[in-house]
Amino acid sequence: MIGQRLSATSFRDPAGFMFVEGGVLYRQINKAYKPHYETLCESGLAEALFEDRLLIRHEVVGGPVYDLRAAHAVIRPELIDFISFPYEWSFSQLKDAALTTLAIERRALDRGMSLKDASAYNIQFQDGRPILIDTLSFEGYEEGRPWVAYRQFCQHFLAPLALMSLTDARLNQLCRTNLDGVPLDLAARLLPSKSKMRFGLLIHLHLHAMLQRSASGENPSKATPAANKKRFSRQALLGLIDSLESTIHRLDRKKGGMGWADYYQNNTYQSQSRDHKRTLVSQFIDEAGPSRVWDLGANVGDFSRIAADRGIFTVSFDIDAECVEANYNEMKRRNETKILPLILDLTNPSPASGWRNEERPAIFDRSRPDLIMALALIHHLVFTGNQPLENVADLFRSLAPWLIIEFVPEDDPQTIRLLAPLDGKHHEYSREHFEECFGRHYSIRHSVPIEGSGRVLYLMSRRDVP
Amino acid sequence: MYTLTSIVGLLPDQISSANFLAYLDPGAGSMLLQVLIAGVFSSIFFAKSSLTYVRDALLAKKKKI
Repeated sequence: MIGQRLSATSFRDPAGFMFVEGGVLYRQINKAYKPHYETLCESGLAEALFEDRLLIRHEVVGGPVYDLRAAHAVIRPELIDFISFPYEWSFSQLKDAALTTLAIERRALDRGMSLKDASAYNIQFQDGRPILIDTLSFEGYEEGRPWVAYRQFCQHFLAPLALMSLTDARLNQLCRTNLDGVPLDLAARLLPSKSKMRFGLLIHLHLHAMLQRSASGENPSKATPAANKKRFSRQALLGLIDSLESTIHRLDRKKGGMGWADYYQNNTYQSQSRDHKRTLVSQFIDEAGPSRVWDLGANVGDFSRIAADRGIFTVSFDIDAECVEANYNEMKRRNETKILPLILDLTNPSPASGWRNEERPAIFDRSRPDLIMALALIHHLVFTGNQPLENVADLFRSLAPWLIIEFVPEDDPQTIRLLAPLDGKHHEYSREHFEECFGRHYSIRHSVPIEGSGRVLYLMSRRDVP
Repeated sequence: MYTLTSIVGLLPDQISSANFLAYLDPGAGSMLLQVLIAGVFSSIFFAKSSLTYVRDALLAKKKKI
C-alpha cells in the first residue's frame, strides 16, 4: 500500500471506496457489492447512463488494489473538472441536480435496479450538466420495498429547494451546516403555512417530518411490517418518483439576491469602456495561456466566457446567488461546457467539514487554477470586506501563478459609493500601494488604463513563473 | 404525545423479518410514509400513465388521418 492514499470523502458506503495512487484516482469495489455491480453492467444500465451523460464513465483496471482481501474489482473513473457542493449552487443548479437524480432512479427501475442513496454530493457538474459520480449508488431492486433513499432525497434536495423557493433564497446555506441535508422538521418549521396547500410539499415534507418525529428511535423494519411491505408495488415507487418530480418542477426561484445581476445593464459608465476591457482581457488570457481559470467576482460571467469560449475550463464565482443563477441559465441556453458558475463569498469561503474536517474539503483545497481574474473586485474586498490590500495579494498569490486584476481608483463612482458610509476609516488604498502590495509577489507584465475610465487592468505573473 | 404505533396502529406481532440492508438509515418514518400512501402514489401514477397512453393513441390516429 506504499504510495497509496485513501480518499477521505468516500468512507460511508461499505460497497467500496476511493483511493489515490501515483496521482490517479481509483475506486475499489468490494466483494460485498459484486452482485450489484454485475447487475449494473450486465443489465446495460451503466452503458445507457454513460451514453446519456447521467453517470460518470469508468474503466475497469487490473490494478492497483488497496485492500486485496475485500476487493472484487478496481475501476478508474473519469475525473471531474471541479468538485462543488450544494451550498455553492444556485437554485436552478440544485433543482437540475434533483431532477437528474430522479431521472437516474427511473432509468434504474427500468433495468431492475434502484438508487440506494440520493446524496446531493453524489451529483457534480461536468461539461455543463449534472452527472452522478458514485458508481456504487445502485442496488438490485426488490419488488415491494419502499425507496431507501427517499429520506435522503427529501433532506438533500426537496427541503432546501422548497426553502429557497418559498422562504428565502439564501437558505441553501443550511446545507453547509447540515451535511446530511436539511432536517425535515426544521424545513417544515421554516416553510410558510401556504406550503401545506401544495400536495407534494404537504406529503413529502410536512407529513414526512411528522412521521419522522413519531417514529424516531424505531427500527425501520418494524415500521413496515411484511404485510404492508407487499403493498409498496413498483407502480407505487414510480408514482413516488413522479410525485417528487412534479413537486420539484412546480418550485420556482424566489427572487432576491444582492442586486448585482443587472450591474452591467444598468451601469452606463461600464459600458463605455467595456469593449476595451474585453480586448485587454482576451490579450492577457492569450499571453498567460492557462488551462484552468477562476473568475472571482464574475457577476453573470461575461468575462468568464472570454476564457471559456477559448476552451479553457473556467469556474465563475460570485457572492450573489442571483448572478450565479443568471450565469447558470445563460450557460444552459448556450449549451456551454467549459464554464461552471458557483457561489463564493471570498471573505468567508466554503470551509472543510465532515469527518475529521476532511470529508468535504475547503473550496481552495479542491483544485487550483493557473489564472485568476479579479475584475472590478478589489474595491469591494477592501471597503466592504475590510481586507487590507496585502491580504488580498497574499490570497491570490497562494491560489494561482497568473493574475488579471482591475484596479478601481479612489475617485471611481463605484468606489465613492462604497466609501460614502465609511467616513474615511478604511485600509490604505491607492494605486501606488496596490502596486507595492502585489509587486511583492508578482511581476507586473502589463498595466493598461481602460479607455473611458480611470481604471487600470493588470496582467501579473507570480515571481516563480519564468 | 403520539407515538408511531398509536398513529398507525402497528402491533409488535405484525413485525416480521423485513430485510433492510441499506448502509444509510432509511428512517422508520420515511419508510412508513411510503407504505401508508402507496395507494395514492400508485393510483395517481396509473391515472397519469393511462391519460398519456390515450393521448398518444389519439395523436397517432390523427397523424394517420
